[in-house]
Amino acid sequence: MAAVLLNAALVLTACGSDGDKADQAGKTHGVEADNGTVEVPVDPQRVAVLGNAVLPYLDLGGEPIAVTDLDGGALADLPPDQRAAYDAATNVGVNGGEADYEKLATLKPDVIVIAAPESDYEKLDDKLTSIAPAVHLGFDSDWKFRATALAEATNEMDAFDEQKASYDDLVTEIRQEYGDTMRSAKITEAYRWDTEDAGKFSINGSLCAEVVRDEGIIDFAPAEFSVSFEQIGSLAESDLVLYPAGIDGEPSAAIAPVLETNAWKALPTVRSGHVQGIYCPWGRSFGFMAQYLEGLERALATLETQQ
Amino acid sequence: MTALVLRHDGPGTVTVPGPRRRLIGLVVALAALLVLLALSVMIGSTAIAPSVVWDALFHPSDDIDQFAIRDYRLPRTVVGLVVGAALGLSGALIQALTRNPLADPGILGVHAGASFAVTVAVGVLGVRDIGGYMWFAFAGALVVTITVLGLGSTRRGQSPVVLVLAGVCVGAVLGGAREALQLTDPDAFDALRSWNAGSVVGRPLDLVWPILPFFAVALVLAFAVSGPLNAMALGDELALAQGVRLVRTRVFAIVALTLLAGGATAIAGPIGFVGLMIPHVARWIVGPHQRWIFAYSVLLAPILLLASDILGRVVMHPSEIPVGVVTAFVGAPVLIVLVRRTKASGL
Repeated sequence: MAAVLLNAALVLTACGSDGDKADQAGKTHGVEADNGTVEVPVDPQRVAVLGNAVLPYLDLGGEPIAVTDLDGGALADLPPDQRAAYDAATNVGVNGGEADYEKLATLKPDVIVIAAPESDYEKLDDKLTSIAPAVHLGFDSDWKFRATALAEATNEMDAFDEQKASYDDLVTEIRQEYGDTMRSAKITEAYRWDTEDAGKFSINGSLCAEVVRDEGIIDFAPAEFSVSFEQIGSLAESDLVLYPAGIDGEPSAAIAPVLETNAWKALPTVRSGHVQGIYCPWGRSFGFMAQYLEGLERALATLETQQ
Repeated sequence: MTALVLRHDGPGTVTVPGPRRRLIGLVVALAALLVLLALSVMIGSTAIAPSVVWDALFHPSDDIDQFAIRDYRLPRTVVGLVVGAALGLSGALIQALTRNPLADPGILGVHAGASFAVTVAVGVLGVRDIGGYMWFAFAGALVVTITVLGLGSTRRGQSPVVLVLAGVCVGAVLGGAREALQLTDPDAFDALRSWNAGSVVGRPLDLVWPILPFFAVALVLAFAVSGPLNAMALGDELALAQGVRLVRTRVFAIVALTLLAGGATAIAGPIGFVGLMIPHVARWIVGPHQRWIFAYSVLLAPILLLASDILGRVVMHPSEIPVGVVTAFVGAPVLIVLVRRTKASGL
């Protein structure tokens, strides 16, 4: 009798599940994006992500049908499951602005999410919307707005909520644990982009430093981009200097020339060990920023211990 | 003797200074260059007291500000001096050789060859550091100029016009190939974006010393052909009548200017206008005497380059503008003046 009831329950459950999917098929909902409110399928099965939308979507656990190129460094840092999802997708071009849109159309996506500069998207709007509903995430808008729109458009809200909760917890934890330290200490970031000119670097200029500053976690001084190596001496006034590290914790290849200079080695902060490498992920999403905050928390802990 | 010597230069008569005045001008230029060298070491994006600069040079210690002087300002000053002198002299050579007042070393494909080689090095071979690019750029400039020399040589020898056309054609082909590579490889595009701006920052002296012997050879060749080039300015027939060996003179001049421009481009990336306008300024001062033009170009070009570099350090403090961008800003108005005063700077 119990077995019969169980079977019946399973059948009903299965019917209910199919019913939900059937209910959702064809239904749409509005997503707020940089190109206005876009009507997209509630549960899109075939998602195309272009430009800077690729990494955050993979980080949400998404399995796209179409992607554009990733930077070599970003590709190398992808976890195996995300790399497999990326490789399984059809690559339609270099970036959002320079993709093969005919090839994209043949893939029949349910929704296209493109993160690209506003000027690029303006030229593509008609082309993309003729293929599928297109959700544009512009470079001028807030990263949290973009992350939310991406999750809503691709129906990845469960993973998004989890990542956002983790991020919010870390922000709260850092403020509570290290609030006093951060108010009394001067923290500076030495950063260097892969494409930076020889002999130049940036101060407080990474995307991660921008997020931390905007969040009010660390009151970094205004960013200075493309400054000469002779400015390395200005880091001597800092209590803690952060620099970019790879996912393995080693200094990034781009920052290595700064760390090899005599001026860096002579910094009081370096001599006293008040320098920390932090991995700044390639994309901006709650998941990626939580990764950065974990590194920041470790760096702040060393400062507090040493103080 | 300070008397002015009259010479005929096409329609009308112009005056040019005599040897003594040229020599005095040369000394003044040398003094100005020394001042610029001192300013280049003293002025930067960080305020450093002159006493620290002095100590950094003559009483070295592990002070961080001293490292800023010794490791950054001094090398970029030396690079500015060497690259400027090379570009100025190569510009004077190409203008004398082609008898074209608007010619610069790029016209023989030097920049195109160097840029293409750097693109291949970055995009295909994965070279990422300036030390790696440099030799590719130098080799690219040399190979392309030799190719242009071959294409521009006819049975009757080498005509400046054919040489220039060959240079323009090869430059166009390489430019297209370079852009195709860059468009398909974003890494190469990014790397070339900064290299193409032309800069003297971040070039360790260890990378510069190996190029200097090439510059020394070029300097000797340039001054060796300065006399024959004077004669060739009157036309090939008259030069032949004076016993000038046209082919040898042209080959020596091309080898010299390629070594100079190729080496300078390899170190700093393409820097425009210096090689174009400095020989004109020299010509305004000394008249159509190649040896003097060459000597003045060697001194005046680093003055322009160092002044532009200093300007680039302070105008957007604490960020810096690459010297290649500043020379373009300075050079454009000067070029307009040149075009409007062609008679004064005509060859």
